[in-house]
Amino acid sequence: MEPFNDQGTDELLIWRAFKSGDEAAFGEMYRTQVQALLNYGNKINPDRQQVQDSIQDLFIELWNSRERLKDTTSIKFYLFRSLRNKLSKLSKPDHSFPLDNAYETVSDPSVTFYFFDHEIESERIERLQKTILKLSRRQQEAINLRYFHDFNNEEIAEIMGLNYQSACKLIYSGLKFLKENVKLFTFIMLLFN
Amino acid sequence: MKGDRSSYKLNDFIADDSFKEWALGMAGSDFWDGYCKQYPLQQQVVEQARVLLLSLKASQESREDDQVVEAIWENIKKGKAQKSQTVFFSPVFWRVAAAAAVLLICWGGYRFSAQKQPGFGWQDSIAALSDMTEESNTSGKARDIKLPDGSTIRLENNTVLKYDKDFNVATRTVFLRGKAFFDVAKNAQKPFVIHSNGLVTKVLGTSFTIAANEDDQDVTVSVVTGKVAVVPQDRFEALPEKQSAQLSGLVLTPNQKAVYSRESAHLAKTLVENPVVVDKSLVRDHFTFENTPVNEVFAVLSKAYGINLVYDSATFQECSLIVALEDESLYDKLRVICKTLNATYRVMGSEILIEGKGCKQ
Repeated sequence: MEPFNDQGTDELLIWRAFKSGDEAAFGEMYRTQVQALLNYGNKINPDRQQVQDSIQDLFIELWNSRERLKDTTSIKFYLFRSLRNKLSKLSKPDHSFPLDNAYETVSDPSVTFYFFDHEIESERIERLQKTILKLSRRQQEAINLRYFHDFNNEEIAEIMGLNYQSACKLIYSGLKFLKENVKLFTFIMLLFN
Repeated sequence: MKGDRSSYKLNDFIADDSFKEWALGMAGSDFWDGYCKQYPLQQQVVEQARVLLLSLKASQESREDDQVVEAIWENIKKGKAQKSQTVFFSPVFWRVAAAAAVLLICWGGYRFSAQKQPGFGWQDSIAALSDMTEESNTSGKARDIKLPDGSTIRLENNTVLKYDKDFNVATRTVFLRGKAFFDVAKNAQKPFVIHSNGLVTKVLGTSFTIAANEDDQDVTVSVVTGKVAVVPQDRFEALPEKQSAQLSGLVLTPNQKAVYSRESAHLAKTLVENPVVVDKSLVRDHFTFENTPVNEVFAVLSKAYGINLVYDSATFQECSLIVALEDESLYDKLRVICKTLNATYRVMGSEILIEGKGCKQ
């Protein structure tokens, strides 16, 4: 994850400097955000080259249209939303961005998640990671945005092009599934201890 | 400062920035170091939250290579130095352009065929809808078409499919006469609704076959993957949530088939003629049984095909099997097993009933 210093005023200053044509501010924006954008893009689109191309185009367009842009206090939100729009336009309709329905999103939680005494923490984490992959892609995306890119539910809804309730539902159901799994295995850990 | 943290739940912990930084080792915190000592009952949930955060973090990809980051930046600098048309020659733009062209050709094709075919109405309400796109197939062999939402449909010979120009705006509604295999692109927000000879099928994204020939008495829907709901036309009209994502009606899962009798308006659920394995993970290891209790064999088959096998487990408790099953159909597998056990099976609705005398000596 990229810890991002989101002090609104600093961001606004950088944004305004960039809009007035300050190349250093533009470079700063790129460097602060590019890892998070690559990370996010690669999560939602398997074609790494396409993700890199899109980020490249996104910044070029950003520079070329800087005078028309509104003051926005969250550069990160703006960039994430634009990147997602770009990537979803590139992919075939409804294939790379499947819209999962609630009833099929949560995989079978009854898959037993045993943790054994001899396992070290890294192995436990690795196994829980596999559980994360059982979430639907959109659940993963929403959870990723919420807990790793620190967006709030409203922003997530807008980035993903969902209404507020659907975004909340995605996050809630994903988290619920993970919680069930994490509870099960810590319970088993306690039995062993 | 946040309020009382002594009664934090798992959600509260992972949403708390200072906890997150501490759990991920990004920042030390005396508060969190002492927290578990102060509130020993919270120890378990703290551990859960910590492992969950660590796993979420580990599931993120590692940082991209600095070289990649620099290469992108170089391109950005080059791109912005030239005028804005540079943007239009970037590789991404060409991909978009190509996609748009393909789409245009498709639409052209749809329009063209719509004009060639005179309209037909198997229902007045449908005929009244103007400007329908019509796809028909009288070529003698199956023909694949792709709808604007990405769904693929294989039209068998003598089949007509119609849809409104509003298709994929708010809903995805089509009208079918004949036989077609549908591979519906997933979109839970816009259910895909098929009207066919008095039967309405609603899906969210799945694949299945509908046979609704005008001359046939029955309309059948056979599911390959996913879940679909079918409901007779008159009942569908009365449903309050016609276009919602909710599936109501007779719900079908893979290997199940709905048969709708147009004459009696009776709708029944049965199995497809040749069920296929649904849970592929079970195939390789589990279809070879060595001295396996037969109840276990039934359980594996039931799970693999997603079909409920009904049998009296007490009767078969003493039975075990040595058998290697491979590519034969489910019914052949059951035939082999039943022969060994001196038992019989029959399809009852969407379940299979197995009866026998057991293996007591």
